[in-house]
Amino acid sequence: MSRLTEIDKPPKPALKSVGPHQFRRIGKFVLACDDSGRFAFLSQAEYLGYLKGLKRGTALRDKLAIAGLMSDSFDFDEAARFAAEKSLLSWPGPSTHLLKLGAAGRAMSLATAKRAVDFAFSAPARDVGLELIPERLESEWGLVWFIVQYARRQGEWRKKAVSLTVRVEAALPARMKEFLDGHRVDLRAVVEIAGPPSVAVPGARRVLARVNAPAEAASGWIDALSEAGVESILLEPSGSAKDFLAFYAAALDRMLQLQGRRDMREERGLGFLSGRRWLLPGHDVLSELCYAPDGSIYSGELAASLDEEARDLLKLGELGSRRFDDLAKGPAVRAVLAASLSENQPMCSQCVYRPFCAVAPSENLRSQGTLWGRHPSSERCALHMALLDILFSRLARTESAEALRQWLS
Amino acid sequence: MLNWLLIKERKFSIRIPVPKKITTPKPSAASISFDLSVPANGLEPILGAAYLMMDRAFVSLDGDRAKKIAVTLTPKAGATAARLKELSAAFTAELATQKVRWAIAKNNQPIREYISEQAVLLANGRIPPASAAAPEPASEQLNDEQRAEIEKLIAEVEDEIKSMNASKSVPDPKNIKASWEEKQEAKLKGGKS
Repeated sequence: MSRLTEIDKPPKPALKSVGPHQFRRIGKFVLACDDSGRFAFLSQAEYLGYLKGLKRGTALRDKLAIAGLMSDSFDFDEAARFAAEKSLLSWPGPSTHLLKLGAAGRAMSLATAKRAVDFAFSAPARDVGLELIPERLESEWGLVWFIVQYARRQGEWRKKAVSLTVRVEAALPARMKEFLDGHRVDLRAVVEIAGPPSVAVPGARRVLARVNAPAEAASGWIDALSEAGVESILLEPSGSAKDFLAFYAAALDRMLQLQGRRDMREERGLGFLSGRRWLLPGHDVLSELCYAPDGSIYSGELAASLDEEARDLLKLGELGSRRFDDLAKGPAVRAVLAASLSENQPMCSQCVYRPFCAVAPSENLRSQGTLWGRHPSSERCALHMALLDILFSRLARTESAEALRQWLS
Repeated sequence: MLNWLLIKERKFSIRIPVPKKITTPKPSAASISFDLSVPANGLEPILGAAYLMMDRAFVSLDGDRAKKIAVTLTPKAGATAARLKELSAAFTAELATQKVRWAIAKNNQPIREYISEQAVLLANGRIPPASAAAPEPASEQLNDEQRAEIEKLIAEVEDEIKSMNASKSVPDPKNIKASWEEKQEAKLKGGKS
């Protein structure tokens, strides 16, 4: 079967009533979704009936009309509103600005750090998210201290909400923890999920977890992390994709079971379900920009870590010589945005998950050698599709759908 | 390598290089080929199905895009007879689904274009969103008398709604109180049965 799935012996569609949508077989049911992310679950027989044409007055027809899938009962105003809200027309700018405080033993200067904060505040978004990534926290602590205080002041002067996060791999000395707590700075702990559960960074509310563990370990890890106060986790594969997907499904089920008692959200899943591609972690330009210690601006964290030739392709400029508005004039940003728009991609344009998904161009460049990518043979695309299958199969179940909807509220 | 044509003129001969005729690779035991009618299947479904096979096969397309296209599938792994048959069946199934996808997409293109237009206008503030009401004066601009007047009005409307709901419970066998829409709907239902 193709990655988009097929229908056995599809009927000729009743074009007078079948609205614009894509579809996908997931297990026993069919997911039908319009261009903006309004969707409905149908059995396979119901979907074939929909394609053949439904009589007026049936419950199924009403359900599909509400989901915007009947072209002869179509609310154009609502469809346009959804399209405006969920598409890049409403993009407020990158939600996270990543500051790499050190690389290969070289630390960012104070002047560069100040420029990075100024640049982040010059973006049009109402809120500013800064994530500080130290290489050696002890020696770069001065930078952290300065950035936190400068960013808070900028937030007050410019009347913007500021969220600050520091990425750490080990527990912090008490004085640092006290300072960060006093300035409402979150910790994002980097965790290797490989053996028995352990919490290396007490007080971290966010976790970046690299997963190389079987599905059986998921519940234990989620329980341990949620007891430690973790509220948000980003799961990344570190071993085989198959094992990661099994772990993800089990971890998701455990998080949904705990909903209401100890709330934890998976960041990529939340980004997918929001239907706003700029909330997908790690997406070049749309969700993040990355500032290197030497003041270079990159399209994202992955872009900043590629080999030299690829990195140069995704270097957008230098702090101090560019304003945020100048970025769009450069060819790299335009190429990245064109590659990010899944409407442009031949396979994505027919994928039911198009409103929810995008593969970062830097990931395409890393794995396939081009910003555009070749999605039919892209491992990242296959991973995203499988993750979305897991999420939507939980949305199809009554007991987990409500918990997932609470993620979005 | 080029084939040379020897042209003998009266006094001298000229050798003119002429490119060898370009031919497409012939189907081999490692691939499977078949022809597809473009008018019957549609060009976009054929191209779409070919694109989606990229993870499993190299796909070669040749022919006249208005009439007939020859499709050659070469599996990326394991070129056995069973695999070739499987690939061919997969292509055929995908082609059938692609025809449905493209038919729906083409038919709904005007709807999509209209929605995109309206979405751009909404995003640019050229048309107000559907939920936008007329701007109300900020509450601190209303004085006590005005606030009391509004509360009185709200109470009157609530009473009116209560009395309307009470009156609806009175039997109305001739459907005199029904709105025009309700009457039309009743006629349609009566006509169908």
